[in-house]
Amino acid sequence: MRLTKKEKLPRVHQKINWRKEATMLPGYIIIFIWLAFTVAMLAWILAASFSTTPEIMQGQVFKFETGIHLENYAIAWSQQNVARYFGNSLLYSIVGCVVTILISAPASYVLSRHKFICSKLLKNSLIIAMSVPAVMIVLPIYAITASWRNAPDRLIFTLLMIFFRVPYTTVFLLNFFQTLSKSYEEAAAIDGCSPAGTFWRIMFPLVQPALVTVTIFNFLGIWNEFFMALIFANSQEIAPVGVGLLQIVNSMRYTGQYGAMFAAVIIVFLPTFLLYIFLSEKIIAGVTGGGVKG
Amino acid sequence: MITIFGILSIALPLLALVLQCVFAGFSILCIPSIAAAIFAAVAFWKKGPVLSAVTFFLSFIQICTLNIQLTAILGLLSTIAAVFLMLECERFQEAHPELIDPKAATKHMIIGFIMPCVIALLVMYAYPVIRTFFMSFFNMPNISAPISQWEFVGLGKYMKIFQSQAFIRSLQNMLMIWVIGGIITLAFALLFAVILTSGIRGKKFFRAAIYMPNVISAVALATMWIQYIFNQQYGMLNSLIKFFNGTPINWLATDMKFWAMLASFIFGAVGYYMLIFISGIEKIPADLYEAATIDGASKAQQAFKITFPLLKGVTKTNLTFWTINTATFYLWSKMFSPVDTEASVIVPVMYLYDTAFPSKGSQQADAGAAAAVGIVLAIIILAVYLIMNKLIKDDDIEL
Repeated sequence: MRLTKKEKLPRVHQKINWRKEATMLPGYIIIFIWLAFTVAMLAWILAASFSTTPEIMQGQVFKFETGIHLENYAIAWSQQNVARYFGNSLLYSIVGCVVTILISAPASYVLSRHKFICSKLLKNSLIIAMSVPAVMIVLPIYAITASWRNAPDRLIFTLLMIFFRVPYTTVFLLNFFQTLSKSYEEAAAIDGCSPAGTFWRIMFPLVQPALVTVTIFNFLGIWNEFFMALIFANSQEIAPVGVGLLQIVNSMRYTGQYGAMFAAVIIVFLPTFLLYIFLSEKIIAGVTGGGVKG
Repeated sequence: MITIFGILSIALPLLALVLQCVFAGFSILCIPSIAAAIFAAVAFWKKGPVLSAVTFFLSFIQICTLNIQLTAILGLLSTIAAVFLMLECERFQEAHPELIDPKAATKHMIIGFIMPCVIALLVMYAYPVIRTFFMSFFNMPNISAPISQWEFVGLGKYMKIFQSQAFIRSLQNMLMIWVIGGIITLAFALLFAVILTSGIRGKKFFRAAIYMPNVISAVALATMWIQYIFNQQYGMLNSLIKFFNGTPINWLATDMKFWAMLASFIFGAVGYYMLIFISGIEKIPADLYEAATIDGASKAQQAFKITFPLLKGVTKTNLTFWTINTATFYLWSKMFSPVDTEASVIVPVMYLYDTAFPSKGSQQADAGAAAAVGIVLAIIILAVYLIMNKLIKDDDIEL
């Protein structure tokens, strides 16, 4: 703590070296143009979600001449079914994240700690499975699930999402379990704790930071899933937000409620965006440090 | 108590299995029941709570797989029995600590912890990949037809897809996305990475802002582009053109659509590749740049003489990801032609989807041909990966 503070102090009082900054001007300009475009797009969409359809058509969304139309959100939420899609996505993401961790963390722990028959093969299969494209697996899975007549469709899709995230999650956690000291297990064994108990009571809480990072990625992955959802969860009842939004946009040509459509876009966009605002450091560190070999 | 639940969790899956075989015949769907019964027997014999947990997991899968009402209920009952077996085993072990053999306990833990993961791999990856491979050589009446109805056609399905104009067009589109999109995306990503690592202010904020489109729902992002940026009437691009007194362009017309799609896709993709480049640049030792600065090298010279040559390894990573990304490209095509597939934006995955699940009644679903498309894509990815590994060796520096 002390060291980092010491390091940071001089930076605060550092004078801006204008000559140095000037040489970087082209860089600033390029980044600013890109950023300005992004901000302009998001701001317009947000403004449009509060405007009426005629205002949008005339391109006058920032004037709010007829006031702020919050009813767009009400229409999107209830009439256009966004509430249901949102609930579905929330269900898939939360249940998926929890169960994926419950499957992957123990497996990852055993793989990082114990050598047994096929442990090497299993590790390699997990890494290969991570890069198997969805198109290679959807057809047989569709064939299998078509014969599961009793299972609710939501359950099947949740199960698929879980299984789909397991290889990535297990591989991601491997490195973190490897860094833990073996002395924890030895001490626990002396105190009479069973091996499985040692994992749940001691090792599992110790990798909590990694669990949080991987859960964020799993959440984003399941929330944004589209291809599998289109095949396995495309009915109005069980569709997640991605497929639901596509349906709303498609039905737009009949309803013509542009304001409500942009409101739906904002509703779908917000959860992961808010998550990102609070956790961007962790997410970016996870992208470059975690699953990817630089 | 433990005996009752032990026998129940062995007997119920077996009973369900027998009924399933009698009423619906033996099939792959019976495997979870057999496994559940075996694990229940071992768990009961060894009094292992972890093994009972596996029994629980398998029994649960049974509920989904057994497709007769009665057997599914039996599956549910056996799941409940497995939970009680687990609790009883735990209690038994606590009451008789002298019976626990640490080696056996470790063995049980390994089996119990690894089993769900192995099942996920087998169900979700191993079996489907193998089945997709075989499907591509067969003709079948529908996608879920049993193997007995499959008819071997050799390479017939591959001939069929390569004679299909739509598939050839989709491959052309994919190639264009791969080459043109790849060059632009990686160039932008590298440019941003170099700018952001050159000591710019607010680096963390800019980095986060450029990566942002990767995090939000791509469907929402695509809708923003289609409904706002490219809109003919009030869209951003046409407003700009009108501001400079130009004639508005229909960006979503057939001849422009592909480029509109590519541009919006690139906007969303750049951030990810930029992060990988940044992580590569940050691993280059700083003294190289200090030495270059002392020798009077400009920033641009440093970029071309130091940074780029040392980024071989991460470039390979990026190219691999870009290839996978292009081969599995689907969402943006779907968003740009939401109802009927249009030739201008068709990609192989879209062709696969339309072949396997035709939306219009006139088309005949052809699962074999769809599987062949999947195999072709997998071969393309594998080939590019192997070629890249041969061409680019990242042995020059430890990155």
